[in-house]
Amino acid sequence: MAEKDYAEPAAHAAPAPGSAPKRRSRLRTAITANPLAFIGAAGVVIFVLLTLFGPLLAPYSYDQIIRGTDIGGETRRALTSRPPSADFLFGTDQRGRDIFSRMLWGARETIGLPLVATIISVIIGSSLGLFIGYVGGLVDDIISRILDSLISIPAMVLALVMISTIVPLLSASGSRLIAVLGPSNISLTTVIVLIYVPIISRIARSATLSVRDRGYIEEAKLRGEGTMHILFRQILPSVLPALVVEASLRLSYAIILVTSLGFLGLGVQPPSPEWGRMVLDARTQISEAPWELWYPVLGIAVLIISFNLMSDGIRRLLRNEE
Amino acid sequence: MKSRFLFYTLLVAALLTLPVALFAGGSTEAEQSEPEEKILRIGLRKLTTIDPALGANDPEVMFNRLQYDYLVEILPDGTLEPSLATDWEISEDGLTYTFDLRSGVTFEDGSSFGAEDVVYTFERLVSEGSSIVGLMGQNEDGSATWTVEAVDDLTAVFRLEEPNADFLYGVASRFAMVLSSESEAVNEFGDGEDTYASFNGTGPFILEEYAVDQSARFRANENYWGGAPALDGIELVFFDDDQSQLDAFRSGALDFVIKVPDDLVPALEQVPNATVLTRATNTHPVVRVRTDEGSIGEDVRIRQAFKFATDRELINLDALDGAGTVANNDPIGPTYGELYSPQDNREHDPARARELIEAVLADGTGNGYVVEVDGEARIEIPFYVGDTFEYGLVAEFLQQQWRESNIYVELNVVPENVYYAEGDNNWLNTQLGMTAWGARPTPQEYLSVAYTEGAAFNESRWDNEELARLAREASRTAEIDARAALYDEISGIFLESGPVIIPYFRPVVAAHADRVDGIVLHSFPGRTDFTGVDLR
Repeated sequence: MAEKDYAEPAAHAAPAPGSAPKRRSRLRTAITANPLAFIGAAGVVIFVLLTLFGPLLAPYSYDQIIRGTDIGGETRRALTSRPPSADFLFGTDQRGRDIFSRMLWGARETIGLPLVATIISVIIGSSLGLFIGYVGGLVDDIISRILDSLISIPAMVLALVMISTIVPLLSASGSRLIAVLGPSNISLTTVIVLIYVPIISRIARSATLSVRDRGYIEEAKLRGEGTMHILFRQILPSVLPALVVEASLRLSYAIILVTSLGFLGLGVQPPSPEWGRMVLDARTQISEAPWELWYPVLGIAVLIISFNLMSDGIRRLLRNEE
Repeated sequence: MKSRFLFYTLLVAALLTLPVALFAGGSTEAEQSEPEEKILRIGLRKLTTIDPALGANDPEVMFNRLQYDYLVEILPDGTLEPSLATDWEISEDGLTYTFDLRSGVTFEDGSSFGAEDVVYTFERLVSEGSSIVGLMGQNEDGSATWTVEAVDDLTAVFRLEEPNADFLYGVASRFAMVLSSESEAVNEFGDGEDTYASFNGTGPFILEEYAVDQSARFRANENYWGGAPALDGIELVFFDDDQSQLDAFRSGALDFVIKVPDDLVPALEQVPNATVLTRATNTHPVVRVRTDEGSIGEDVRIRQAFKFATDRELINLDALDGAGTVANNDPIGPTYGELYSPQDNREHDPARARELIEAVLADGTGNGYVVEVDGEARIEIPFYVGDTFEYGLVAEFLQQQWRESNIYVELNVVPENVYYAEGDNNWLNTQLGMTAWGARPTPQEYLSVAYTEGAAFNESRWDNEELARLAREASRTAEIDARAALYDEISGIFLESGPVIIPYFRPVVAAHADRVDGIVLHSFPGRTDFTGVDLR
């Protein structure tokens, strides 16, 4: 199907190189070729924008309990479990907080933390994978076996054990930096990095193995280039496409992990607007105020589908380019 | 083509007929089998301990009271009733309690119940450090101010060093289940056929199988001295959270659930063929700070600041929809009738709270919990909360309210069985915590076990000599007016320097399926009696 779609541009008349009509045409062609990937990419862009600017758009703070007096009423009581209305676009939750605002604020925690953790994992994992793939021998054997043993531990089990041990230690440390970053955020990031570094390393390693004996590497060696130069200037560009696809896929898994832990009540604590935590808080209200559940569930679903569609599109694009 | 059509037709017919035939066969078999056993299925949170002397919460008490009996029973309305003791007599000086014991009662292993078992039970409460010894009379070193002895097989006598108007409530307390003096162990798992041999009670049910953190199955004790229960058995099913428990009840997998949090009550009321039970009680959340040296609340101004920072009336409205009764910031609630007196309470005054915190910062007595941020003094501290009832919700409302007073807390809402288990941040150790306190038949129990120096559950480590003196005097005072006056003074001390905020007293809510007959919800739900319960 993809081959057929990519064959279509040949049928159109091609304007002069670099001209605006040609760029528009190429974009149109690419969208027509893989519309789902572009829907996914558009979704990802929207979510990234929400992560960056969401709090600026939010009418309330994520933890503000809205009382009647806040909207010109007389009651001091919290406006709990109000259905969607002009005052509260997505309604309010059981604590009287604006769900729309919490969704906007929560995008940062739901996407930002997995994004940072995935970037760290990719940097460490790909560096390690490039190194052991290039060096080979006993170093490769030893490190690969250690990484394999880490991969064999189920992600969720490792996450649960790590969080129950790291968070109390961090909380007890009394460090101002840890307090600012948040023990939960640090431990979640550590968990994701620990889980993903071995996976990304393995992919980088196998990609490295396939290129390390090629002529241009030999040539670089003969030129007297250092190991770092060969690793990052010669090999990395070759393995980058595989890493990009893996990173985008890992990011969606990281989001699932963070929201799952949030739903289990681990990792983040109230009043965090992380979407998994919002689902946990709202689940007692499923029959009384179902809208409390709709938005975070929908948000998580659309977010993960967007990342998966985009990841799938990148993979197809790279495969076609090859 | 025709033969293929015929083949498929026959195949479809056979597939359709098969389950019908199987189902028909099954129903015939069912008609011939024995009538279904009457097993009452009860949903509970997980147990923290199974030792009768130490199990303080509803799940533990219910688990044990099915198998064991009390010497004296406390009825749901708080009155006392004979149980293994048929009668008792108190000497004129109030120092000797003589109990006549029921004859013909046997333990599960066939041994007879007698006075030696009473001696063993109450001496074990002391040796195991049960909190109830505080109510019965306790020295500072943890030893008891009373002794118990067997005068003959069916007479047990308690001798007190000083009168104690609440002593009978101690004898009848939820920890004081009568154990066999001949047992080598109490509630310890053995091997093979002896797995449950040390679960040896005189109670209406016998433990058959216990899967830790999952379920416990009991069968009726046909030889029960009070008459065989109408039920064939009871199954306790343990849950991590209230929502799962409610879902199980809604699906028909449970017949009875207790301690339903307020936010689930509307959903509970919609469950078809079920009855919701509500009872006004002295159950309350205790928000407390530790007061010992180096702790957050060592300086009394910090305790006062927390009180000024808290709008209890609003908490009751927001978290409990106004269903509770706003409290005095002390544990003596209106369900105690004449013993309760409303206090001129601390009003919500964030400005006053901020002033107090500023003063503590200036004097450097905040023990590291009062810090300066952007030129302002503020309290920064983790806040540990067990997720009983709606208390997690209360914690979130408090977190918001306190910010106005420059009190910033990092919430840690943990499962109930984690909060009450061993740990640096458990209910007895954390600097700032919220603990669930259930109803007690007498207010003296709170004072004796939680608010006097050295008491087993003195979670705030509060040591107030005047309060200790007044509480001791109240324990010796049986006359209601005199006792009420003492409690009024005690409430005043709580108001001035108490380390606790008690926002409200709440009712307890439970529910049973309509096929259940005869349940009377106890004010301490774990003590609910099932001997008169039947299934339709």
